[in-house]
Amino acid sequence: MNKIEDVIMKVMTEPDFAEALLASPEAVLQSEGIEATPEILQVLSNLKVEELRVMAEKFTNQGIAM
Amino acid sequence: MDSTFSMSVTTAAISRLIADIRQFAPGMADRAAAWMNGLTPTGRATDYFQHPLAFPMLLLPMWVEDAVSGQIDAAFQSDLVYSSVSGYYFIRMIDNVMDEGSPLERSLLPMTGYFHAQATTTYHRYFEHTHPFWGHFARWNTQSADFAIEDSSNREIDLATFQRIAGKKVVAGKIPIAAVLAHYNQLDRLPAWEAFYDQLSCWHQLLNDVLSWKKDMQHQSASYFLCEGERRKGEGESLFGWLLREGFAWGLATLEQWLNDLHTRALALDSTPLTHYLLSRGELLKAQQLDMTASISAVAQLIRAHDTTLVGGEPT
Repeated sequence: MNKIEDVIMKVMTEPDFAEALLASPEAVLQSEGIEATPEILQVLSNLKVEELRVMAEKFTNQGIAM
Repeated sequence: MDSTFSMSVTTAAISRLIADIRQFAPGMADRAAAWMNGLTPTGRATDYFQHPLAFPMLLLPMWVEDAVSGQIDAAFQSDLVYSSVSGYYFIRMIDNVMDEGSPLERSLLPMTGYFHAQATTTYHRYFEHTHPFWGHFARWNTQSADFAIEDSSNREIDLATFQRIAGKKVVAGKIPIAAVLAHYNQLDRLPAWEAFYDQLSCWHQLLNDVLSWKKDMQHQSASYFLCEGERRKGEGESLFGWLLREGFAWGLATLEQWLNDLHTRALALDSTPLTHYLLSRGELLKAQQLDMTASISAVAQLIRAHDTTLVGGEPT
């Protein structure tokens, strides 16, 4: 898995990471070893923290009896 | 029959189980209760079985009784729930310990004998030892153990393997269904209910697979969903890349198709509450599809934005 996929996985499953990324994209991307290009910043600007949080909760899948 | 009844008998069964442990083994009662309550994020054991996404193992015997007799015997169903909850804890504790569970679970391992005894002895009130019910009980009880052993060693899961093992995971849940049919002398209807149960088990397991993809990837646990991804991903594509490109959409579409198949099979069972349940699961699935598809599509654009930079040489 490459670096951008690693970031996407965290965005999808770690709401706190997603919130930090959307708040400070350049700094967080740099710490992940990814260049903050205008294209990437444009995509990030369209993401919404609450929607990402809802998605992360679905993928946490805890407390479901099987 | 409604969710209030199911909730009340489940709450009563768990209270009875903890009270019995407190009476017979007061030294471990608090730890046992802490473990049972700790299985759900809410800290209430009842919520674990009443979660809207939970496998309906406590509801199915109620639907069966309603279908075959047109009534619900509250005392009988209370006993069935008590047995099923006890049996669930028996299986769950063994599974968790086999998965290198917590020190609390390992310290409580001897409790499995108690849970199994509670699950079993309940049925002695209803069936003589020569009753055909016990043949089904023994078969599914053994298959449940077989699954626990096979599950920890299975690394490659194709559709045929999945259909064979997904049903085994919850096979013990067939026991109260057979009990209801035996109670009303209608064991001839068991094959139809069993076929539905197996199909529902597969559907539920695939839903779990799709929702638990990250945990399974991190723990390198084999699931049908991720094994299918390994088979379907493109050359040089990562498994996660496949999930983003088509995997989640494939999983959700397969769930929708299998749910339609379940509706067809349920028609033969003539159970209104079962039909309502399938419809409600369909609505939940549709809502999940809408939420997840939009969000996944939005974050997947990061790959294209990243690749544009790499391919284009310099960003525009």
